[in-house]
Amino acid sequence: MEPKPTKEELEAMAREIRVAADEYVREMRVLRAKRRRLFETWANILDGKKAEQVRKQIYGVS
Amino acid sequence: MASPETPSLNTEEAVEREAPILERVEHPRTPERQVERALADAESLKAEYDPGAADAEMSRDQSGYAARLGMSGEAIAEADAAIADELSTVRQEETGALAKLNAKLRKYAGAVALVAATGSAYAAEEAPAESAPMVDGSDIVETISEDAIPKPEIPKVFQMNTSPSSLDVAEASSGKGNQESFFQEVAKDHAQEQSGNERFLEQQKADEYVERMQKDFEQMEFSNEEEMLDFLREIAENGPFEFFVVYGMDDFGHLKKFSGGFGSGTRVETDPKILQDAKTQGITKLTLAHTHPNATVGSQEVQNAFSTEERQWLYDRGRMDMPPSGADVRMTGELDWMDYYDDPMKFEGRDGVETRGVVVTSDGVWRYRTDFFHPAMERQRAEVIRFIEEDSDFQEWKSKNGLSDDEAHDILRIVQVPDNLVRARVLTNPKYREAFRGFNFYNFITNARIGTELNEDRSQFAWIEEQKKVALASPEEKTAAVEKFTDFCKKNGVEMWYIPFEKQN
Repeated sequence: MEPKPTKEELEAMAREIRVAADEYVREMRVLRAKRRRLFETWANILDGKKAEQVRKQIYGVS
Repeated sequence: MASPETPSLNTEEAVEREAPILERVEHPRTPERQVERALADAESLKAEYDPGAADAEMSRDQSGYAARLGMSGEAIAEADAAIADELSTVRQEETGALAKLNAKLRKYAGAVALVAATGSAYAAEEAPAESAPMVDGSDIVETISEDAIPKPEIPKVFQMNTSPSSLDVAEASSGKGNQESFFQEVAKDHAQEQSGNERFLEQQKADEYVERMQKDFEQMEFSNEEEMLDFLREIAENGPFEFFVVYGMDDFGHLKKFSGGFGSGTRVETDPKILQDAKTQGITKLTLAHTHPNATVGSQEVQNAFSTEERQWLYDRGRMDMPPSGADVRMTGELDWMDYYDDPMKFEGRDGVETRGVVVTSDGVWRYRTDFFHPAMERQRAEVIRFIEEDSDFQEWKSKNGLSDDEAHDILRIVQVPDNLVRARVLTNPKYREAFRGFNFYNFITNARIGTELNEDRSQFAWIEEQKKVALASPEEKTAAVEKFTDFCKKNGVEMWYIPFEKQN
């Protein structure tokens, strides 16, 4: 049977799990920020398309 | 703290990364329970930051946005395609981060199972003396309230009035030691730049101005022609003065009046028919209807054109949200030269649309082309754009924002105005705000001394004042002023026409 981890090993394990989880959250936050920027880029492009559409309606040219 | 291998992040990402994750206080519990709780917390965070959920949320946002604009099909597909590569990278990174976490958790799976099967073998740790006493045993995980956690200051590296100390903040919060990120370098540039440039100290004033302009812009919007004509009529009947009306049409075809606000996106284009209608409806006191390629200047001109009494009149009726003593919200007057050097209409000019400004007075109509530049400004503009485009920072910024050469070039045209105005415009226009994030363009502006030459020759922009005088002068004076002004325009390469109204019986 696998020996039971020592008290110190268990404590280190808990710490490592927390560190890994925190690092994950940090990475995901950065990626969420990138997603937001991408969304804004995407929205800007759509804004431009809309403006172009309206200009066509108003002026007959894009 | 960011790990040393962290790649350069833009400000937003850096702030996100450095934002505190709620710290957990380990109250006395057995080591086995510590592992279990850490595992449970990790699972909870996995659920909270699930890549699939982020994807679904973004999809929902996109659908909602497209629906609000009434766009579909090809336009959406093009926008999707534009971000597809980068989004794919983000997804991969998210999946990779999750896989990395899962791998770590799996590493301990055996030990965790063993712990679960055998129960606690070790005693709980002693609680630290300062900790709160436990209420019901060892399995409570408390969190420190967020208020109690010292919050890292957000680096203000992109603010115009950044003090040198913000550089320290940026460096401290990045935790990267000698390895400087892009934004740290930018922060340094800013600090150096600002130390010798007092204009940056006007930041707050500029912000307030923009805020007021935008508020004004919103309040003065007309939803249709009739509403605007009603207002003109009211003024004609009740106003104590002859005054300017500034109106135009935004990208969405809405009429706007006193359309202020830097970067509001308003394209002011007069519809002479509206003015004619006003006239035929007996609005004889309509003195000056003025459209302008730049909405901001429009507001500025309202300020310039109105006396204190007149502004008070408008202010009292909620027609103008600028205080009667408008001087305190005016900028330096640099706006004046924007009058016909302004650039938004160049975008339309580029599209082959000739734009003309129209100013209607009680005596006639002024028309002038707006899609041109003063030759001196044009030369300077070309030099500066070339200077910027050759810079490596610019290349990096362009690449980071996924802009094509043409798109980046167009954005550069926007910055060919005084730096305080550039900042205001860019940062209040969603389209450019995002594009400029992380780009140290102020340096370019200042270094190139944009507009200096022209600002020194303010006299050539006295024509606004001339217009005001025209409205108040005798017929002879008006004629002389008109001639003087049209001559002046011609000398400066500006096409300008004055067309008197025919007298009505």
